[in-house]
Amino acid sequence: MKDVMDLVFDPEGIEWHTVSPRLTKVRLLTWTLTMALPILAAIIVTAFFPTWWMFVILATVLGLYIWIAIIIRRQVPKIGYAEREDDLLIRRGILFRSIVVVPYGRMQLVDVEAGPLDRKFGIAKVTLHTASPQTDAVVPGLVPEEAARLRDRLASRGEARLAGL
Amino acid sequence: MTVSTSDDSQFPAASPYPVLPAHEPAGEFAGQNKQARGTDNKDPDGLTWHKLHRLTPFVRGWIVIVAIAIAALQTNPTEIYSEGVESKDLLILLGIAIVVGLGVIFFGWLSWRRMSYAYDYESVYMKRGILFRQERKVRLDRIQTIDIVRPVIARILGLAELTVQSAAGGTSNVSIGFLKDEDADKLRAELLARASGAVTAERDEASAHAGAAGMAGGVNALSTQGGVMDQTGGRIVENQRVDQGERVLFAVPPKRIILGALLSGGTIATVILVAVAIGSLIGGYGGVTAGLLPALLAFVPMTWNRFVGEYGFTGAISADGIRVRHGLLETRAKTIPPGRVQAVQLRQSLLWRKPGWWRVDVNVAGQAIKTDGNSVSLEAVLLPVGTHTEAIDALWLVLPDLGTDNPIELLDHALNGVGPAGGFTVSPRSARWLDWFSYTRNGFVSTEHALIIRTGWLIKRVVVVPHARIQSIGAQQGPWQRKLRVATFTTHSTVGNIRPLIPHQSEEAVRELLVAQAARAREARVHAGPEQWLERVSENYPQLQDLAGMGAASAVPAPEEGDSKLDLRGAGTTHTSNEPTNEPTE
Repeated sequence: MKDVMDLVFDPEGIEWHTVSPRLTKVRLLTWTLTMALPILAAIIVTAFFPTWWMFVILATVLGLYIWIAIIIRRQVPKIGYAEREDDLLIRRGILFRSIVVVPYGRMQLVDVEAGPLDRKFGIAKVTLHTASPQTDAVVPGLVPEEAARLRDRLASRGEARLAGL
Repeated sequence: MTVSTSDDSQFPAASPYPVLPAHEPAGEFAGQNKQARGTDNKDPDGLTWHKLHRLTPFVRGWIVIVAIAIAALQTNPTEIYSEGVESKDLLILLGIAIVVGLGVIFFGWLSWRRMSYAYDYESVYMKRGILFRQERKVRLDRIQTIDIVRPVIARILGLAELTVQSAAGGTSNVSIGFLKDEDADKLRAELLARASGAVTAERDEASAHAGAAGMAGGVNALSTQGGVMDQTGGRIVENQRVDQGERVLFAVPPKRIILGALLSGGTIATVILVAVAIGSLIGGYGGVTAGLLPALLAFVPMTWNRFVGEYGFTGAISADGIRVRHGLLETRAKTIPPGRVQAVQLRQSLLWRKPGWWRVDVNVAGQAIKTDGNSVSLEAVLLPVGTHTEAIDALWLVLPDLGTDNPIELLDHALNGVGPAGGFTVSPRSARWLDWFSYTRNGFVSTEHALIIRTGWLIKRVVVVPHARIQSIGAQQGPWQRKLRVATFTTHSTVGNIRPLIPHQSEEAVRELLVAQAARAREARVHAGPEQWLERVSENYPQLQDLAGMGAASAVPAPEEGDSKLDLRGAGTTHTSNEPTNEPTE
């Protein structure tokens, strides 16, 4: 099966960079915070009204939490980016995979963003904007130095290869 | 190329702009323009950070404030009255109101404190945000347009917001607002002048040194130059040169517009709904009829709006592009500069197959799409209803060279063909489980200049994307696709109705496309010279020769290779060079 996957999503001669494992922590934490209230609510209600359907709900909520958590753990290492001479490649996904190729000359703007949690864990997200809103080129989970390096690198390469519309 | 950062503290070495001192003096935005500079905040880079109007957060957040107010008012007053009001309750309510009010004001003030903008001779900078801090920089030479926006509340307060649109579109726009009306106008003029190169650091310096009244004089000079920019680049004058050097190429007969609108999906739905409604009424189920009425009310205006919007559709050619006019009650005119056309789509719905009609849409770069209902689609229509020949003509108008020896044959295959004839690569047989009816039609062919995508079974679609206009490319694959060993290939186009994607192609084909298309796009970008669009079109249309001659120097602005200042001046410069046309318009 490996060769099939590689056909589209792993072009030859490309060295993929992975993102920081801290991203897993941030995403897990965010997910846990999101689910904390529903889980807590489900547990409390089950404790007071221990009916069979309440247990089903509790199990569903917990199952959902664990399932997504597993997906997050598996997904993050699969996010990869590669700088080629003329374009940046970003790929992600296991079940639903996608790859995007952004020519440097097409970049209009590079955003570096870091939310409060990201800052706490020391990661940042680099987003490339082209003239197309469909260009979904986001590299999450970069350590600040790498984010800054990537941004400057992209900016200077974009400058050098600037193309009109 | 523009760069923006958030949370600069994380990137001390890399941040191009230093963080502001923690307690910035609340810059009085009183004089509000250059005179007020002294009171604004100057950072070590020489950037002067200006503050926005103090009411900005409230103008932005007025909906929230109104919602809170309404919620507060709706605390069921009748209940209170009927049970008798106790002064203690009222006091508590008042207290809550005051606390909430103070909170809103405090947060407004906090966010206002963080908002400021600056500009130099290269870029505009904007920063905002309390928790999620954002700094954004847009290079002046990347600016497409600067709009002045006045929402209702702002209009009442005499405020305006500048929207600086760079080519990246929606998310990367910088909004500078809110400012007082006149300051917004001045700032716009100033930025346009600087972007055009009419005002440079040296010239500004010179005017600043020009004597005691230097500063004021400089400001005046700037606004004048801004005014000139307005006349050449802005929208203001566009309406005044409507009739100069135009040739009407096609006018869609009203009868066809009506028929086209009637033969749409909305009409089919209406007819079915009416039939069901009448049937259930006869059958004695009046309730069903009543339930269907709202749906009917939704479909009828849809067809009607289409008719009203597209009525009297004419396409004319002028030196700066294709001028499209339409509308029964409200006439709209729009120029589509072919050099900025990013993608063209020919579309035929099921009911149009019999008369053989096609609709031609385009994606145009840097043109804000209005999102108020029906105008969305109309903004980018090149031909609402046309015959096969007219549709191909319309395509030729914007893309004169498809890069193939026999474009007519190729387009025939694209419009009505199935299978690999005409050089098309279609989905493999395994894709039939995903597209039972259209897998032999879903395909593409890549010519020297463009990627031609053919999709659809009930609704036929053909999308043409010039290689040189491809922004980025990508591929997706879901679990089913993976089982069937197919993947979907997409090219990303600018804001518009067209989304060029090729569904369910074999993995080999997609891989090949990813490699080849990236290379073709790169090649095309490098070699894309001046468009000379009019020259090429006039080969097809001899009657346009004179137009081409007079617009020859400029033809259509094709912003290429970093010379993006053309973006801004584009149509205007073209116009100034083609004044001497007095030929009557058809």
